[in-house]
Amino acid sequence: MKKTEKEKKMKKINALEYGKKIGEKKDFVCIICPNSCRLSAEVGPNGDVKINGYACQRGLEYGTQEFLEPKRTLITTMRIKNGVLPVLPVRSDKELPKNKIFEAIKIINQYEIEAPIKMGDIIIENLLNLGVNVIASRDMEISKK
Amino acid sequence: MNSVTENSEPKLNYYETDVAIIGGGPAGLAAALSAYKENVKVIIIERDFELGGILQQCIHNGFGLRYFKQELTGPEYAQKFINEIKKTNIKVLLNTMVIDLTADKKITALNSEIGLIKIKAKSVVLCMGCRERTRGAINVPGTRPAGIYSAGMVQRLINMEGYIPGKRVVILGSGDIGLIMARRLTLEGIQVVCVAEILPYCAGLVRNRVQCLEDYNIPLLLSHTITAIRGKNRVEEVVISQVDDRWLPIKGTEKVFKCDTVLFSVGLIPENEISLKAGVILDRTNGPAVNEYLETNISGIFASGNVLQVHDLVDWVTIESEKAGKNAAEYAKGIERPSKLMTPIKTIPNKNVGYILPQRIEYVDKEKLVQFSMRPRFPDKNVVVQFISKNNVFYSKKLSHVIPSEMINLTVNLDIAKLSDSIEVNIVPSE
Amino acid sequence: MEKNYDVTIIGGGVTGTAIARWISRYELKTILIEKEEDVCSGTSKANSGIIHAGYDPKEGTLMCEMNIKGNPMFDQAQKELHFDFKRCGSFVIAVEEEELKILKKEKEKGDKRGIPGEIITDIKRIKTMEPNITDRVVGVYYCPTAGIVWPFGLCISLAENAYQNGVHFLFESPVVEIKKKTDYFEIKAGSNTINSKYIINAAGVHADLIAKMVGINDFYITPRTGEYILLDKNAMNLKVIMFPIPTEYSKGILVSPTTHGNTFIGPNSVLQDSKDDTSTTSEGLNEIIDGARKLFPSVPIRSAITNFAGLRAISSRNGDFIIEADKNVFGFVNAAGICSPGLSSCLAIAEKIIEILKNDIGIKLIEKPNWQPYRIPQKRLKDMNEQELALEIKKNPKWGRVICRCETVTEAEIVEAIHRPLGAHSLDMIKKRLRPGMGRCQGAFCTPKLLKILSRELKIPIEKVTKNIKGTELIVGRTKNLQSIIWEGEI
Repeated sequence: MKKTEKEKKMKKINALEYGKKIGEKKDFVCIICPNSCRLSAEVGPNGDVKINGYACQRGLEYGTQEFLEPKRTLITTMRIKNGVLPVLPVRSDKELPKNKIFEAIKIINQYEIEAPIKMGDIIIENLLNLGVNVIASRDMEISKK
Repeated sequence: MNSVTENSEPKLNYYETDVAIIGGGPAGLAAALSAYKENVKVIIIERDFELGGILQQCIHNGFGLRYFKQELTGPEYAQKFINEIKKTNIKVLLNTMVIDLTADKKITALNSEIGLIKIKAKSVVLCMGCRERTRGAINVPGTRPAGIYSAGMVQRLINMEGYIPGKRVVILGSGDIGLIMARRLTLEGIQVVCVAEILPYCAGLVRNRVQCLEDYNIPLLLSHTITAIRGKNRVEEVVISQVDDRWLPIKGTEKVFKCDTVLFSVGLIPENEISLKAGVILDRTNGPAVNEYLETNISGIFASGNVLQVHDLVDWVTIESEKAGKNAAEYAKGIERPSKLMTPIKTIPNKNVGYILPQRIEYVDKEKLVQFSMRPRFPDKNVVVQFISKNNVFYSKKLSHVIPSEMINLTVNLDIAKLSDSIEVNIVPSE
Repeated sequence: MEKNYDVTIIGGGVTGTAIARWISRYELKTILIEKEEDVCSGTSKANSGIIHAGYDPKEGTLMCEMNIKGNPMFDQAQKELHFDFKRCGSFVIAVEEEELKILKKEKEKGDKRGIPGEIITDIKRIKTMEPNITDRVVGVYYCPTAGIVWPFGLCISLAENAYQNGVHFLFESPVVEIKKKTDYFEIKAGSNTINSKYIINAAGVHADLIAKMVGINDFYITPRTGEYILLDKNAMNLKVIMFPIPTEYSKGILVSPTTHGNTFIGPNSVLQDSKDDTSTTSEGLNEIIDGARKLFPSVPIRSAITNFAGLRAISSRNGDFIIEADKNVFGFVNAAGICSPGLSSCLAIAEKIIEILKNDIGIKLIEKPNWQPYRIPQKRLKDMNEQELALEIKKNPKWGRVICRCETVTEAEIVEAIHRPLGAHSLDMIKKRLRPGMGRCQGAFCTPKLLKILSRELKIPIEKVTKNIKGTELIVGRTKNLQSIIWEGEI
């Protein structure tokens, strides 16, 4: 495969900056498409990241990110006052590091918002200073009760 | 707009409409909007307190990748359609349960404020969705204590009501619902002991296996099933055994897992009780057998979404329902169809095809594009889907992999002249 | 509940509740004590629901006498008490020429007892009566007086009528000790102490343990498990109860319609030690599937909606009923060892108990002047036409809110069941009275709503709503420190 711009960029990433050690390895599956390529990642002697097994650009990107700093979308519910339901489904508008998920959940669990809410409303701005917002997944009207 | 006649004594309400949509989930929403665009009167009858159906409890993302080219959560996907419905004058009856449907498209429904409702429709789209297969239906032996649930019921309790059904959970079934619930329970502080799966492979998406089980170190026991539930008042433990290739438990492999809750995620069954009342005939899909208009054997009664066939992607539900809604509207308007074939062309699911939809082609069109849906019986790689009639493979498509948990949708050009009274569909290894 | 009673009935199954209802006719202060939270919670909850014609029990046994007497009593009882009962008839099916001899023997027994019946070998006629029957059939012994009953409805209607006529009920109170005093018994049940002149022991598989408490050691009860699989409505649409050729000790594995249109297969028959283990087993379930296949090779197991097991009380007196005033302990009457045909016999057993009280115990039975034999059942949507339903919704909007979709049960019916005498206060009690949870979805749709209704009507937090007795709560808490609430308003 010809080396693309992105691949050249990947070469410049230093795994040591992500807390990885030289020689560290990991085998995992790509989730981008149904081919489910078997990826393997390894940290080279210069701290460079070697990814093998990908069949496309997106696979390389996913593999690199998943190895260095796995990210996930946060999905949960939040207490809401006076709504038609007692909890509102919320999500992070961007992915955040997997190792921050439980901390993020703890924060969200302490919140209580009030109806009415519109889908997309930003409920928590810049969660944990990660540049990620927590937004409402739906409208929620005020309960008639 | 709607004629509401109230009798003096009992509360009887009559509505007349062009198209009646039974069910306001993703199928009903899409069918309603699509029918509305054809300038007909539309009523949606929904038993829950709001529209959105099952999507309102599916708070995870992964919806809309195809239809909206975005990755949405279930409620977000529903909200987009609900917002569109709000802009129309489609009549929405909420908290209303349909209790009868006749072949001449008369619907009886109950609502506590309005009373007993009779709706006379020119056409009906069945969009009632599915129910879950239960512990009893798969004959799991043992006791019957508190703490045994279907995954979907727990999903609603946690995501919409904020109730915790237990503290230590074993999940049977590694389909997407089971996997999603494993993650959801974990994020709410409930311990998921393991997920058992009778197949030798994970039934859900790889992405869900990674992000719901591996992320949280939840063990996945493939080729295993629950062979006993124990506990008097509350679940106390389950016995999980390995199974052979005939899904029979292997003696000596029993392992005991202590838990207080068991979640069953063992499949969906289309909910066609109302359809049967009208005389709709069902296929091996447990959904109505339909023609290329998504019309059942009862003329003017259409079906789409999970009630027709269990879908894996809501995007396909929307696309299918848009068709059904449009067809129902055209039926209501009396729009002529091409002439009917003397004998309908039957589609026959053959090699490695679990089922094929539509089950019959009924109308003559010199040539027409028909969308077929099917699922393979078993997983395979590097295959070709073949449509055969008059001993001739008139359509084929290569696929790199097929798996029962993923629906295959193909748009095929049918030249009626080239077809006998049946079309055989195969999924075979490509040479 | 009071302290002193004339009669205490221990056990709230069909035997105990039938006795309660028959006793309620007389001026006898009576209480029924039950260890679970509801009547019909033991053997009466898990059986074949069959009112046997009466040819089967061994000649000269009490079982035989009670079955023959009891079967015809169901028509009158149904008129008075309103429970689901249908005389659908039964076939004993011979699939080999050899077996026709056995059919003849059964018919001889039946004829001797005056039980209407005939042997039919005309296959065409058999198939008209029951189109689903196996092609291997060579003949059947047909008994038109056999019937099917809804055991929950029977038991609950007996209990309600007894209550209506002044019988007291005490639930979740297992009897732990009985002291025989000079002219009464001191009974410790749960946290209560009751003094009673007479005791009627209808405690099912535990009857021997109860009898032991007063020093009666001349019988014991061995539980015999019977497993069942219930099939969905319309899975088979049988018209008639199907028996195989009976074995020496059991009527065999049947396939039978139920009063609600379901079909069940079972039971098997396995003696066991535990008096409380009602688990089903894979061996047992496979056994009944195999048995059912003998009568119906293509029995649709894929339409199964649940499986369950019940324990039958087999007495050490040759497995026969023990219905007698004890010879040594005056005032203690046993109605024990009530296994099949216990359901068919329960009304006759109640009558016999009255005779025993009168003749053996010597109680003067004074009839209550205002004894009400008729029970008013609650209104049900399934029994209404549209006009009636529309009228009800106008009076009470809860008739317009369907809670159980599988069986079409409304909020109004559920609220009524909760507030009736002996009202429902658990999910299983609602299930037994109205059927939510017995349908094909097995409670997946209705349970979240039932939790709210019970919370609201009983004014308890949702976390306290139980499946049956205390300790069977479904919900353990709320997410995100949400407050525990008592539901108010609409469901």
